[in-house]
Amino acid sequence: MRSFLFIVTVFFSQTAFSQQTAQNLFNQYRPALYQIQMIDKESGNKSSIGSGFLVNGIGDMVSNYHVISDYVYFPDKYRIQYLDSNGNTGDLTLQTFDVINDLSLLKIDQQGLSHTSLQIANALPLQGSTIFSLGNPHDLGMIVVPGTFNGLKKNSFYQRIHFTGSINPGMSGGPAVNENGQVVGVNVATAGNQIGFLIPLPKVANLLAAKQTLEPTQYKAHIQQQLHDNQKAMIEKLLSSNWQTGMLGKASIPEQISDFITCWGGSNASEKNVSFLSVSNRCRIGESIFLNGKLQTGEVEIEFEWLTTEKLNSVQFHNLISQKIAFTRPGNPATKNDVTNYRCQQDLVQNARGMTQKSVLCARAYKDFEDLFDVLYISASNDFNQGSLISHFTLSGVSNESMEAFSKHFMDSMSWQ
Amino acid sequence: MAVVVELLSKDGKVIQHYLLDKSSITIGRAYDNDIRIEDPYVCPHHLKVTENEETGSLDVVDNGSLNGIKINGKSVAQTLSSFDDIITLGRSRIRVFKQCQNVAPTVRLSALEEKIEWLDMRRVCAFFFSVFIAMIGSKYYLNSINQLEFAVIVKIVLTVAATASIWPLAFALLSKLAKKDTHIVSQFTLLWIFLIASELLDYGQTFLQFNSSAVQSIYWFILVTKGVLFFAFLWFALFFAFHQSNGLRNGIAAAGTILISVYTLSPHFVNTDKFHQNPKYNPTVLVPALRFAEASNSNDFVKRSSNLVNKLQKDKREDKD
Repeated sequence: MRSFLFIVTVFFSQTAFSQQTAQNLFNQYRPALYQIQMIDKESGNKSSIGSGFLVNGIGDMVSNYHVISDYVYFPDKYRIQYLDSNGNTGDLTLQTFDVINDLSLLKIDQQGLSHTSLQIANALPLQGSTIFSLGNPHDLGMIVVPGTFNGLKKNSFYQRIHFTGSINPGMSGGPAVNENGQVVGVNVATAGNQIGFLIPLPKVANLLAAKQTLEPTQYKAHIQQQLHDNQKAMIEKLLSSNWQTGMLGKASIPEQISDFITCWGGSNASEKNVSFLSVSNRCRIGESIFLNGKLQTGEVEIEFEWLTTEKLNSVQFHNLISQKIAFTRPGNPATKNDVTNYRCQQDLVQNARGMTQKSVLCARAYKDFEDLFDVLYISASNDFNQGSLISHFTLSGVSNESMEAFSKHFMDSMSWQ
Repeated sequence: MAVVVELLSKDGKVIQHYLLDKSSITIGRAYDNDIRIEDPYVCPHHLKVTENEETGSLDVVDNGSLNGIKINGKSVAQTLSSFDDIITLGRSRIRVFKQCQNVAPTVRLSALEEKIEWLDMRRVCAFFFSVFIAMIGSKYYLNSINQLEFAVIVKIVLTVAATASIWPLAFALLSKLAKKDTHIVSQFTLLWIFLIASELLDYGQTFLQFNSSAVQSIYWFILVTKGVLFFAFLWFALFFAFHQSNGLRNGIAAAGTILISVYTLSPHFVNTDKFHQNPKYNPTVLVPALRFAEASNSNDFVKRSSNLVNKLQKDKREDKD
């Protein structure tokens, strides 16, 4: 009982301490926090809001890329405006941005410059320590959300901080600080659950180190360069890692191709009245790169499904297989403004390990960027009368070279056991 | 001089034919007439037809009859100008002309008509019908992934057959209206043969598209073949139903084929730049036993994607223009 009381006391004192720190931090750094508004030049109204914070005394402000993406895509249609803690507004200029890590570096004019700025921490905090996320959700004024630093998110290609505390839309671009008020990360909004992700400080430091002032005509080329470098690094990492194989029905398939791609298994064994058995293994990277409101990229999906039947005859079974591979969706959302229609090629293919498949490879090109494609592949094996392996992958935003290298590696990764 | 008199039915068909070697003939209900008509509305000595010696034409003289006479529906003309002129007396209709009138040239018996007489045999029709039913039934059975009941398949097959039957029935009705032989058995046999052939073409397409990577070319090849097949089908349906000239029949069949082609092809030419979120490809997979083409290796398959990339670059350039 005594120990219980002790824990309760410690817990409450911890909470009370957090609240006090939060209060202090908020009051102290409030002037360094700004609301960032996208203003539609035509109507003069704000079309979206986010948060941003000053990182030095010369007016460099850090926010998310997605907060200002409308401006990057349509520099003639929008302007970026700040709203400070006293209710003053003024224009912001975009210096540079990082689409991969969803960061932007803005510049505030001398009038809006506050004396207070946030320092970048030297290192990430210890796991379990309290950190505070500051921001401007729902246009209600600046708030502070205490939470726990739970280390870097595991199995992530892009490195995000795992933060238990709710980051709401509008807090995007706000800082996450440690108890000393030093920046350890930048908020990225989530669907409003109790887990948030932050962009860790090394990425912020990189952005500041690469500080430059881009002209609006350079924006697309800047995105193109970042997407190219990123997809190259990712595909190289995927192809150089050892693909762990496992059994799915009669087939040996790559079960886990990389630690940053998460996989789930499934089957229809529990369903009643099915005339075929299906077991599957589906993997996704689960993170994507936001380019604009209608285009995301950077997705990787890999799926295998082994189908077998005793109730259907082989003609019926192959009709089933045809239907199963008839519809595939791209891994990422996109519209006519950003991508072409898919074009496909198909053939009977025998891979290097003797598996015969009907294979379909489709790709669509990015209209704004050179040599970037969304790729989609689906195949059904054709070696057994009443059993077939369906293999599928999608890659988004990869170069022609990456597409060929990955497709080849993937197609030759399956075999019969 | 000899004169021909023909008694006509109400719809203009010849009931009786007389050849009289006289320069003047009398027509009426009395027994002493050259031509006697048993019609209560006709007077005993109703009219007289004489040859005009100067002009050589035939004049019609009314003998003061009660109900009068009409030539081609009018009571004015007294001279027959053509052998087609129809004289109405009472409720009867006659045609009077000189025996020297020419007849249309003889129609040659159609060799084709004799060659395809077997289409008119009921057992042939029944045979093709059974083949068609079997094909449709097995198609539905093999396409179904859930267990289909026999009764359901029967229902589907009969619905398909009943819907298809509208075509020959419509043609039979039209030829009946045109007072021609309906050839209904031939029409049905023709329909079943056509449907079986287009089913076979579908199977052929599936087979070829499974075995080859040139799915687009195969699609167009089969489509053109189907167009030719439809033309032949329409041509024969017209051939059985009506006795029109070859030129007219070719024209109608071609027009019908073009109409169907426009309907089928329009999606290929309208809205071609529409954006589709999902890719389009041919997903046909058949049983391994039907795989005849040699599979290419994965290296070649992937290398071929440079064509895909080239086409996409072209799409992009066209989009910018």
